[in-house]
Amino acid sequence: MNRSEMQQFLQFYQLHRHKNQLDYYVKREKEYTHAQNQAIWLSIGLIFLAALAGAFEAIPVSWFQLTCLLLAAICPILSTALAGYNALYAFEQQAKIYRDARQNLETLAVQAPDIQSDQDEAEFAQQVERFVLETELVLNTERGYWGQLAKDMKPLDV
Amino acid sequence: MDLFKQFPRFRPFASRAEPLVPASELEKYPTFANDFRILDEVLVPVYVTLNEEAMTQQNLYRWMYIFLIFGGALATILGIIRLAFDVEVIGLAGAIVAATLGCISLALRSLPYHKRYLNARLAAEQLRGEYFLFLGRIGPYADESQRLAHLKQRVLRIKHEGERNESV
Repeated sequence: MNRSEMQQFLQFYQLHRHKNQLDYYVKREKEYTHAQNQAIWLSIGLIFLAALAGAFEAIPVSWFQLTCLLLAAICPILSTALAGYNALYAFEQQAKIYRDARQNLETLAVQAPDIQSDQDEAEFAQQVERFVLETELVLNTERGYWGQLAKDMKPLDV
Repeated sequence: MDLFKQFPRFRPFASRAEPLVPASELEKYPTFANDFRILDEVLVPVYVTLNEEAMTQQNLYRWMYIFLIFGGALATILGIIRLAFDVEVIGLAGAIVAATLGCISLALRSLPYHKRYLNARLAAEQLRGEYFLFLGRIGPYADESQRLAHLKQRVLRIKHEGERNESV
């Protein structure tokens, strides 16, 4: 490839591989971190509701007592189901994998070859190749970690 | 709500299937037109197949577990309501739910959804990497006379790995 082709390739690669993956990781990291927090708060809410129902169960109104008893029994079951759902998606672990990959890609972005530079053609080609191979290494590593995690992504008690 | 964004879908391809690189973007790089044509013939169809296979199997796998998780909760809740109200039909519903869960549990153990989804996803992502290495004539694709043969060989090997039913 001549210099112009190499520049075009670098531009294409940065946009459709490097940036595309970076955007994906940023989006997923944010989504999974939010999902993890929402799961925690929902679980706390359900347990709190169960405790509240247990406390109010003493009020001597028959229909209210029955409702409280049902709530006190059902809320912990829903909380357990939510924990199972959380384990199925492994939000926390996936968010960590995507965070690490994002940070590595961001570091590489700083070291990316300058498309406009007037350096020697062979040296520029070498820099592009190094940038591509290092980016692919980061993506391969992320894939490896994800593969290991995905093997175990299921609720323990099901 | 982000918690349920990845919830399994009834039609997994309705909104998520994306091309490796949009066709409109490829037109902006006429220098690589010949390489894009080769990739469209050799690599992209296999990538699309594996990508769709991964999405289908992932969706099925998640549905199975969602049924198990929330079905298990439903069966217990029905049992509690049955105790509180003594209505026979609720007991019957609970029994049906429990029996369905038993069948799903059996299916989960015998059908290789999880392994097929994992293998297909990893293979599809590997193909995505090969796409760019081929285009940039990088690594094993640097030798102009061998790059097409190498691409065909790699695609075939990755396809074979992606279609396996057991762990790689």
